[in-house]
Amino acid sequence: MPDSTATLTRGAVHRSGRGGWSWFARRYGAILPMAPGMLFLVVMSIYPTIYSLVISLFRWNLSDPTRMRFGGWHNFGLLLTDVTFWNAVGVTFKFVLIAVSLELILGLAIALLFFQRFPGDRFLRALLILPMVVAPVVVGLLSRYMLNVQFGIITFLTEALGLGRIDFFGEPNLALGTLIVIDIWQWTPFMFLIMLAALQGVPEDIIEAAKVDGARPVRIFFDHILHLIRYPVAVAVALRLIDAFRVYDIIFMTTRGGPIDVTQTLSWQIYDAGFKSLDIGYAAAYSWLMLIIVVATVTLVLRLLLNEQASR
Amino acid sequence: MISATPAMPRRSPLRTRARILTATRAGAALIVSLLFFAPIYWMILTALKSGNEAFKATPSLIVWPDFENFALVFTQSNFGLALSTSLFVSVTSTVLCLVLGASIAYPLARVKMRGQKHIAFWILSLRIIPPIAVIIPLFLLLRSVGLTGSIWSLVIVYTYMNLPLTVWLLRGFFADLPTEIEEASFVDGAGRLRTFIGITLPLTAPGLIATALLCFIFAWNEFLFANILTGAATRTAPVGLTEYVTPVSVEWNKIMAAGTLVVLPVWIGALAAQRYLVRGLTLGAVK
Amino acid sequence: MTAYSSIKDVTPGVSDGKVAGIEFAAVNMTFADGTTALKSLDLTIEEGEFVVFVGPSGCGKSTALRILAGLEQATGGTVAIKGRDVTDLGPQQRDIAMVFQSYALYPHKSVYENLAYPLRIRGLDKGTIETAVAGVADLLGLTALLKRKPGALSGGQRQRVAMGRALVRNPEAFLMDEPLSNLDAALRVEMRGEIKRLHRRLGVTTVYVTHDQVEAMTMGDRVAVLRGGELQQFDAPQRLYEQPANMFVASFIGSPAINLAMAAIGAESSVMTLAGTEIGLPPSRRPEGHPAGPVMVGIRPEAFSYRRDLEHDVSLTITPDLIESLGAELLVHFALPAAPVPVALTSSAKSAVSPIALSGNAAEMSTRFIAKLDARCAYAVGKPATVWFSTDHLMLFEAATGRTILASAPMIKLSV
Repeated sequence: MPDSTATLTRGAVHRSGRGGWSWFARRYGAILPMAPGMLFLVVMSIYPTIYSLVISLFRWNLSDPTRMRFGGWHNFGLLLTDVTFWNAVGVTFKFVLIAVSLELILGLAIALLFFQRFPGDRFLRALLILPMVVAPVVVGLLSRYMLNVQFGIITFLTEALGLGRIDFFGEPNLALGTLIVIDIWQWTPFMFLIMLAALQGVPEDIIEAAKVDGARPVRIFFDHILHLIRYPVAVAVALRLIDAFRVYDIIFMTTRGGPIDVTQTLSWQIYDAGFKSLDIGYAAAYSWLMLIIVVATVTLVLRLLLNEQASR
Repeated sequence: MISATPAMPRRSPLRTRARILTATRAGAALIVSLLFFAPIYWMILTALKSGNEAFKATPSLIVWPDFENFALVFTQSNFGLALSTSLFVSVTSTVLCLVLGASIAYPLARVKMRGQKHIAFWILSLRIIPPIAVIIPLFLLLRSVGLTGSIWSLVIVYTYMNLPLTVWLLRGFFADLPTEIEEASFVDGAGRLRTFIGITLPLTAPGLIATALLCFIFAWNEFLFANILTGAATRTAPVGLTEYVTPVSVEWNKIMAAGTLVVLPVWIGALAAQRYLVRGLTLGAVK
Repeated sequence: MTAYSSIKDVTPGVSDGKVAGIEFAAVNMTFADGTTALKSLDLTIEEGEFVVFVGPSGCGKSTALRILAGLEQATGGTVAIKGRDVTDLGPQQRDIAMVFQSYALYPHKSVYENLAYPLRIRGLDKGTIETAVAGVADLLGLTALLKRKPGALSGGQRQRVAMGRALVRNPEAFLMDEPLSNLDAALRVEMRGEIKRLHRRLGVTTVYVTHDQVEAMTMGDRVAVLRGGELQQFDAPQRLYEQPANMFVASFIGSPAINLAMAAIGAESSVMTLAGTEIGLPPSRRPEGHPAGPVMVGIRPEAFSYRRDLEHDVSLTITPDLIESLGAELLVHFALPAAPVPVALTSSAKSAVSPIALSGNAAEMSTRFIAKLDARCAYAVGKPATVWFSTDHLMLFEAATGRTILASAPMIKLSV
């Protein structure tokens, strides 16, 4: 039983109520530091969003900046009926989907090689991850040098193999494939690193339980491991998709959209429309369509990956 | 003394099979690694080749290193300036990113507030927007305040570009630190700021370093904005590289030397912080 | 209460225990998600007292401690430490020390730096800090470990460092949040004694949170039993055991738990029907004023005896279905014989039994009994036997509310 009768002089201490600086500081002081950064993010994202939404509705070419006419959905209509737009959509999807799926498969396969330790694996892993931190501009230059029709090392190899000289960037049938291979070279290490970490995160007892149950390694991989790493896989794929859609630097350094239009991606065409033709209304509308395509694709792929795996 | 006979290493068929398997895996891993490393080796090799060695009919795989190309890169062009511009822009934007990022991420991880999740996801969603989609409005915005051509425009853009990632990562690192450690510090009498500086920051340092490294790499390698927002005097290293490629003369040795210079600092950082890099690259999806 | 008065002797200036060390007044806590963690908690802890908050998980004991520490802001009511209203103060300004369940040592600081941290914050000079840390390290046997980082310590050593960090300054109160739950059983018993000895020596008001009733009973001068955010009882351990305020306290305290069964009180409250057996109640053990009808009856396992004597004069014929040996004693499990209880009684009892009286399976709970008997009894599984108890040890609870109608009579120790 509470037998103490000591009394407390309640009300003797001043209790600040609502209002006033001290109340504000106590209540919001902890989140106040967020303000500058949030303000920066809001300004930098809201302004371009609204701006680009507005100008996408205008017919406005910077070569004649004073002539700015409201066009409504004009730019969007123009785009959706434009063969070059649909060509770019096709090219981009080919590039993004083929590159990312091959990177995933290769990355996972290499991660399986490295999953169990062997002498010297750390050193090899260090070599393996280098491509992904090479600046894309350098990648572009390096590939141009290596694939040079006159003196490139690859040309030397193809000639030695009796395939003759191949113009990888100039041949319409090969240009996009070459870009895909370059992207795979640069970004498979990324997938590899994530897949390796994901595999190492799989609880050992689950694998051991499966072994005791008599499952063979291949079976264990497809029945259990794939399911257990689906979340990292989904994140890695989503990140790679987002980045692959942006592909620009390498195209700038190598094919510049050519030959003809086989490497004309969405990013490249927006750049072309905005900074070469200076048709910024059109470029803004284009940007919006691209954003929709990216968001829709990433959402769809994520849903496919997570649901299909989860239902196993 | 009775000495136990050491058990002879038994060569059971199972163990032999395991050895062969490991050897096969190691061999395959070696081939794959060399394949991925080969272009990089070729770049460094070319950079170290002298004169016309680069254009020889039969390429040599090993050369006597000649650092002439690196010297020429610095003496014959403004590449040294481009490198220092890149360094300034990357470091400044990284520092800004960390300061702004931590001041958003810490409350986001620790303070209960309304719409916490929505704020976090809004910030992350900024990362999905292709840079090309915002480049025109950003260009016009920066031009209207007279910043185009200035390196500060790049600092601003890179800070903006990397801030969502920074916030997302730091939020994860802060959230992973047990609240009790900070609470212990409060009870011990330390205020919020003192606790943050004396306890929180040192304990999340590995995460902060990895985040900083990623910010640095993205800023250092960036080309699209750098190409559009810089003037002749404010070129970054990736933009500077493109100037070597002229229709008349393509000096591959020097280009490869310059390329190596662009790539080297990033490699060193990436190798040093490899362990934390994975977590950063996956937005914390893999620990 | 004797141990406790000796504590007060070492606390100068406190003459009669009338100064509240810590006071909770009508403290409410509702979290943002709407869950209520504390309902109007009123509790006064005396200066120098060792008080244990105990209860099942989610009972609000940790929340109460965190509110006392200032780590959580109560949604209503006031908290005072030594007569000072600290409701609006942060943990920094409360001058309390806390030991966390996870110890919360600073992993990047050495043991020395961990211990010195609270003093450094107070801006003490180097010499004072060194002396204080050395003193505490000596007291807790940490001297040899001062240069190590927490990562290089064993669980028990970490626990000591956490204690040391609290002890190094002279706080108004020590707060401990399940400080021993991460230790193995033997170490836990050892540290239990050590904490008690430290408390006796220092005499600082201590609030200790645990879910372990044995810890609560052995350590607390007084124990506050909480459930669902409500204080059930705040009393000395022995009183909790003998005079529980309700059925929850009765079943929470004691191990194995008290046996509970539905019974019926006769019309004149002089007779009780338990498992079909009529038990006559002596005048001192009658639930005066309670209407005839269903009650819950509780008998502690240790109240049974295998033989009849002065204290055990009521018999019950049982058939053991499981016997567990504890060495000196046996735990004899049996089902209470199925009682031909009137239908009307059972149905009304069932509907009357509130969740607080019985959680869930009333039938199961009311028929499974355990008797803790001297190992000399030669009982065997499946063989009918007789156990004895006394009406003095019966407790009666209201079937509907679980409130105690009749607690057990105070134990009279026969001196030899």
